[in-house]
Amino acid sequence: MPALESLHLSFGNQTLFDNLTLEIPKGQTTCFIGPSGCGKSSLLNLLAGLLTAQKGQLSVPQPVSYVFQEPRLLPWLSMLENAIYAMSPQLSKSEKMEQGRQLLQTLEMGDALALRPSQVSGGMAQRCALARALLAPHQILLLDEPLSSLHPELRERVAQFLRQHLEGQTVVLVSHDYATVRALGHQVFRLTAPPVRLSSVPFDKLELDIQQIEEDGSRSTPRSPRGDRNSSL
Amino acid sequence: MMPSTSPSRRRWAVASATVAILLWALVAHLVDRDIVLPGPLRTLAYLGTMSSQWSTWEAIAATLRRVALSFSSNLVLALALGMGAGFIQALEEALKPLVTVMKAVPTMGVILLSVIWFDSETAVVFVTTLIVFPVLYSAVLSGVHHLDQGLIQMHRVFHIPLFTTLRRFLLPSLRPQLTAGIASGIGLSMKVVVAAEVLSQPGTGIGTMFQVERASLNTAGVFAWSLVVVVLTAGLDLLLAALKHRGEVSHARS
Repeated sequence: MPALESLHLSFGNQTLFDNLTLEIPKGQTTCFIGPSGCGKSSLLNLLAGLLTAQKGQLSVPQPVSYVFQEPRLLPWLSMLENAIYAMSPQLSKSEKMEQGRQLLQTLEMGDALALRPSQVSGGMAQRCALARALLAPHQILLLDEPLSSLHPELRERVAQFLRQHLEGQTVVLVSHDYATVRALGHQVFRLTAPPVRLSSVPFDKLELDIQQIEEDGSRSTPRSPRGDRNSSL
Repeated sequence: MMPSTSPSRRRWAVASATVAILLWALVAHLVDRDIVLPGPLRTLAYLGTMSSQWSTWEAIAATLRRVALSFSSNLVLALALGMGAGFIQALEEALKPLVTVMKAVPTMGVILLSVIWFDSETAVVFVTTLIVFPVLYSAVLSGVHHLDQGLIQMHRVFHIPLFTTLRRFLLPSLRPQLTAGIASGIGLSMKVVVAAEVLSQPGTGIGTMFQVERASLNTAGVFAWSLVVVVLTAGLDLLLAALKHRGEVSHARS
């Protein structure tokens, strides 16, 4: 079971995590919500091994798979090549291609297999990054706003697919979207501003909590509406 | 398809070359002594005579072999050390003084020392390494410093095998800096190899032929061999430009 014990992480004078202890249940999806800059992505980066805590214990089953906030695709590879990029080297090329093609078709990208990242929308690039993470061998899957660039109807369809696909897998999800968290999450934690404190959020208060976070965020930093980010599909 | 040059630009290039040749012919006519300055026609005539001799082609082949050998070994070394230094700061710091010395050291001093230390063949490769390596190394290092950090993290998280990382991420990412480095490095290699040959006198080579012509006071021969070097360097430049263009087209298609 992935676990953080008495973890301390600071950047210069700013303490992000102080004595943070957390167990992530195996085979379930644990969601984290919270305002921008509260440390959600840093938490994922710690679990992914991209950040090292100054103190404390961290145990994460390997290998890890990760959907970053930005797609991070190789610009000279096609969508299909990007999707199969992190698959196990033990698989044959034809096996990888077949699995990649099937998954991208399920994610409604059948027409975009040969296109390169510069030729597709932000939503398509995000689904390709999602496919890459799902196809990569993993014991734990980290999702950082995985559906944020999709329009609401598509987001709902992909969330339904993920709900079935991720059954029994250990997943850590960071999202601001109520529907995504509601569809995928088994438990939800709210992160408060640094140094981070975690509080469990019951599902009947989830929508209210997310609304409050969004309102607080729009008051403190003027942001463009979510739907405007890269014209969805 | 060769890279295109607009007709007006080409006209300017042809005009400037024509003016230079005419000036050369004029000055040669005024000097009127072949031993000091042979004219273009005299040089071309000697070039014609040279081209019918087997030793000319042997010398060109030997120089090109040395350029290919020293340039390719430098490129491999620069790729390995440049990438290593790009990712490991301690290695970059350790190599910094060495590269600075290599950049600053006078070419002629290095050639003279290498002639004392090594046999003529090794001296040529040694000198070229000292002069060309810093150019290629700096190009690779600058490329690594400009890599997309997000993509580096992606490779770390997914534990992408080293060979795949090299082939699918690092080399394509370093392409712009590598192309520029190779273009300047190959021309420099040609110049340095010939200069080293002049002083180290290997069995055969363009530099050796320069010395032979100089010793027999055949200035037309020195001019003709200079023309050979110019043509070879221009040919290598054209070949590189064509390869670069082909690479860009296949890169865009893939």
